[in-house]
Amino acid sequence: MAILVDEKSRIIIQGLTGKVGRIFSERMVQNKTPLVGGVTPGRGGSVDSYGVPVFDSVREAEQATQADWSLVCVPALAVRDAVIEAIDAGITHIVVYAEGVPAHDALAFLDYASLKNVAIFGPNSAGVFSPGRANVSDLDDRIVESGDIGIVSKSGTLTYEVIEVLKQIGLGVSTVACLGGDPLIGTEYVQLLKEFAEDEQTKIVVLLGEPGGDLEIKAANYIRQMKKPVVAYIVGQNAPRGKKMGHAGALVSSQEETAESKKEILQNAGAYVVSTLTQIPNVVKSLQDRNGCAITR
Amino acid sequence: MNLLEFEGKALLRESGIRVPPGQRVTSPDQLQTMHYPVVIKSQVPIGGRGKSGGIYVADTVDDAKEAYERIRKLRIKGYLPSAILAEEAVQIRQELYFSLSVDRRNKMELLLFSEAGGMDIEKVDKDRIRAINIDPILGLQDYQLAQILLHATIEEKAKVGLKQVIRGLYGAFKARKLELLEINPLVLDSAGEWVCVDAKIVVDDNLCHKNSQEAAKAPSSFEEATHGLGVNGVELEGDIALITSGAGAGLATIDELKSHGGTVRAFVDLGSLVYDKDKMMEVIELVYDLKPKVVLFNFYFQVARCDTLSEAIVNSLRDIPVVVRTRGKYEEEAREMLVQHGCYATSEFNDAVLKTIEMLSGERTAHGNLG
Repeated sequence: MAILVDEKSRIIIQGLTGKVGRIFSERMVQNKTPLVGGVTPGRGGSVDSYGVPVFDSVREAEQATQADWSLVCVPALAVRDAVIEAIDAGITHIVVYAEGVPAHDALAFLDYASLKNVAIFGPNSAGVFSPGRANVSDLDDRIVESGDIGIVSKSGTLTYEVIEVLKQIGLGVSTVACLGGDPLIGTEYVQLLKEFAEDEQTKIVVLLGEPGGDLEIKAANYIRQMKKPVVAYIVGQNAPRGKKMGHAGALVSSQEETAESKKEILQNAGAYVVSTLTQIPNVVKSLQDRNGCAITR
Repeated sequence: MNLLEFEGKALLRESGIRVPPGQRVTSPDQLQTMHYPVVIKSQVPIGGRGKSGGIYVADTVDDAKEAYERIRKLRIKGYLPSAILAEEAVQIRQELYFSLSVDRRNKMELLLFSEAGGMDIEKVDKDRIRAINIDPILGLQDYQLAQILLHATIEEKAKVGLKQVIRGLYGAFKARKLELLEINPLVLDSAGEWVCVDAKIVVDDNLCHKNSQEAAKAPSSFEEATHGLGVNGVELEGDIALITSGAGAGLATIDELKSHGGTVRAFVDLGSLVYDKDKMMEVIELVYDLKPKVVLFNFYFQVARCDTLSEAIVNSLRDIPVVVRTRGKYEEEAREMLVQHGCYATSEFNDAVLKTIEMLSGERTAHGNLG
């Protein structure tokens, strides 16, 4: 079993017929992701170019399809309203794809989601993907194979690279979840590590982090008590201090938040820490060889 | 984006919050009609102006004119003032520190309050600062406001006024979706009114639209020039210019280059510009202008097309070695085009990194031979 999303999930796209929504709709239909509908106000009652039913509101979509997942593909300044609408309609898992959501908007809907027990991925998240089951991410289905590595990451583009190097040594993925590159994001590493710890399919977890914020440090506290091995890579060990080198979330505001410091904290918690992307396959391989498939620490 | 003091105060004034009477001065004649004493303040995007001579209290018009001419030309920590603000001086009875910000760690709003006004808040003892997290949905509660002021040594009458001012500031913080609203000092004047004597305001970049004035200003650095094209660019001191799409993959590439002894001259994350050939070429030109020894393009597209990128690359080639790694739609066509134009093209991340390092050492040897 993968975690979070699978073939039994019922997914909708908010902004289905928009520029971004259309790309996802086509891909999901082609690759048999359980996309049950989408929302574009004013176009309810029709179907999109790929045969997916369109609804006027999330509530109508939920009533007709029992949707539990939503991929929010609306522009950044419309995200707040879209997410709150989805929460009000009873959606339990939401991916916010847009980059550039104002901080106050994120504060409000993240707060509302946590009060209503709704899981938010993002903003600025590449999404969640359980290969062969369901893909609510911008990862191309063709590049990811099913397997026993769980991946949790802040960065979409780094995740592609990690999947690639794992594939080269014949390893696939149980679930990959991208948390998002913004300073304020919903679901954190810890929640996903807990899910991966209990997932039978997942044998090893790869954690990808970056400088800035304290989420990797919180993750280290949980890794301490985990039996499954966690391989961790924090990018940006060579990034100069005080320069914005990518994600808005990657700005360092205290010594503890640098890549070096996070690396050390994770190492002390028992994670297998690497310094570069190309070291990941070697470490994963050696962990696998040590105990065959049933890897425990 | 950080607002300058006079811009921040204009925002406060629009929100009905009291700031000292004053104006932006562009000609000394404007100083003629003000009520003295007047404070002349340099408008620079950095703290510590007072200590650097950027703030002056003038008692007479002549005094003010002289200060205006002097401060106009005074460089503070490298910055010449963008404007000069002249304000009527406030008679200070008491000064406080007050700020509202977005607390990333707790995912809440954060209110900071201290009776140690006018000082650098980083240097104030922790036990002299009251910190309160505000739920973004519920907003500032009466009990929270009461808690903050409970043990503050402020006259009862002034406390009533202060509560109103804080309510007003909180309203502006929410309505404008500000990342930071810092008033230091917040002053009780001789008439018993609270006045925002300084204002540091950070507006959310996601809500900023570049105004024409800003766009017309010539970009003075690589960072600004790339930012003007809608991408993040960083200039460094090393040899290799790295152009990627995506922050995480870019930082991972830098880690890999450094592990082989490479150093970085520039790093650009093209982001969503990868769909726009012309804009990409403009960025590439800026990178070449930095005269890197090797340029590494590292791209793994999920949605965008590799041939758009390769066209941009071959159309802007110069006499600098180029290594390109492409994965994604039309990657083979892209590599074919690149090889025809003398670039090194590969599908592998590691191969691209190693080739870049190899070219760099070749470059070093070549120069060595010349020398």
